[in-house]
Amino acid sequence: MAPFRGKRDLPGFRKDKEGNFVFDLTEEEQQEVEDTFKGFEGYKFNPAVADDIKKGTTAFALSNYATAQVGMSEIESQKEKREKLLEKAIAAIAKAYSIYQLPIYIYDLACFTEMAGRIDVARNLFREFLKKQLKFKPGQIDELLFKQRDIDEAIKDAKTKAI
Amino acid sequence: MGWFDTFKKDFREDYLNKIFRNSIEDANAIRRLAEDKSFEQDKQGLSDTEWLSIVFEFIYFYLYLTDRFAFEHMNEEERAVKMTGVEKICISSAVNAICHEWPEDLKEKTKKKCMENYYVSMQEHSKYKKWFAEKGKGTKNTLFWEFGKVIAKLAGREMSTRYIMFSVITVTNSLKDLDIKSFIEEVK
Repeated sequence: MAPFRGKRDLPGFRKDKEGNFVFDLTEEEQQEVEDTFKGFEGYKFNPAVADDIKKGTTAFALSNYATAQVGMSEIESQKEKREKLLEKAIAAIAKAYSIYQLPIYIYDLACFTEMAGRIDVARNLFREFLKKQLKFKPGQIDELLFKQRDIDEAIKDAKTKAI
Repeated sequence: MGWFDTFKKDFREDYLNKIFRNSIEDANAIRRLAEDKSFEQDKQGLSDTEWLSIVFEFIYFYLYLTDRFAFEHMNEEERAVKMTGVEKICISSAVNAICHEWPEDLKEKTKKKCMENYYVSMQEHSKYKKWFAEKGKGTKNTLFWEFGKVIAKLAGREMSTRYIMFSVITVTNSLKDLDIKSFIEEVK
């Protein structure tokens, strides 16, 4: 997912030779992912689901990182620093969705984009979230990943902003 | 409604976040007072160090009041089980949030220092039995007034009645949002 097509350089995003958006994790994002995986040290998973768990956990770590950036932007008094924190959040959540397609990550991206003042882009993302959430049938891993989220509240909020 | 409402509530975490957010807003209010050119002549604004000290002093005060409520409404066992570690979590999260750009070792030193300062503040606040002055009596040695004096001193305006009164009003307003009584009821 490329949040701001060509208009802004987000941390870790770049274009390949064909002009497609590709990304690497930043050092901070990588650290967050590594710290999250430390919690699973010693666990053994069924090989059939190991790949999904790896992707899901990576995405979960990136979404936690994004949440932390937004939290910090709320208390940052300097406009430039606030914008940088939001950019980090947007980049991280876009990567999270690219790695593991939970619709709630689109909602988060819409919210962060709205916070960054890109209302038109945000509106389209809210619509995208509602479309995807409607068709989404969560598996067990998905339910674990968004256990802390109130999806109904997100849908209610998105409906008011998708107009 | 908004993004923050889409996270399921952990009431304890929610309450500690409220302490943090109110403390930031309170310190920002003191900062705005200090930047008021119509009153301030000798000194303008707050330094970053003054602002930071004030944020944490508000945090310590709200934690103290929470503990005092808990002491009055919970038995010893309940307090030990439900309230232990609350101050450490709150202060640690506050340092992580405010000092997020600092190196890890400096953050850890700051957390340790803040915990020490918290215990000093707790001892100081516990000297004052009355929250406010009784009718016809002076404000000296009442909890909120003495707290106001601490804030005024940290702002570099020691003994300024304007800063003391403003701090008292600010804290009183924030306490409505914190609703300590409801938190203690929920945690019991």
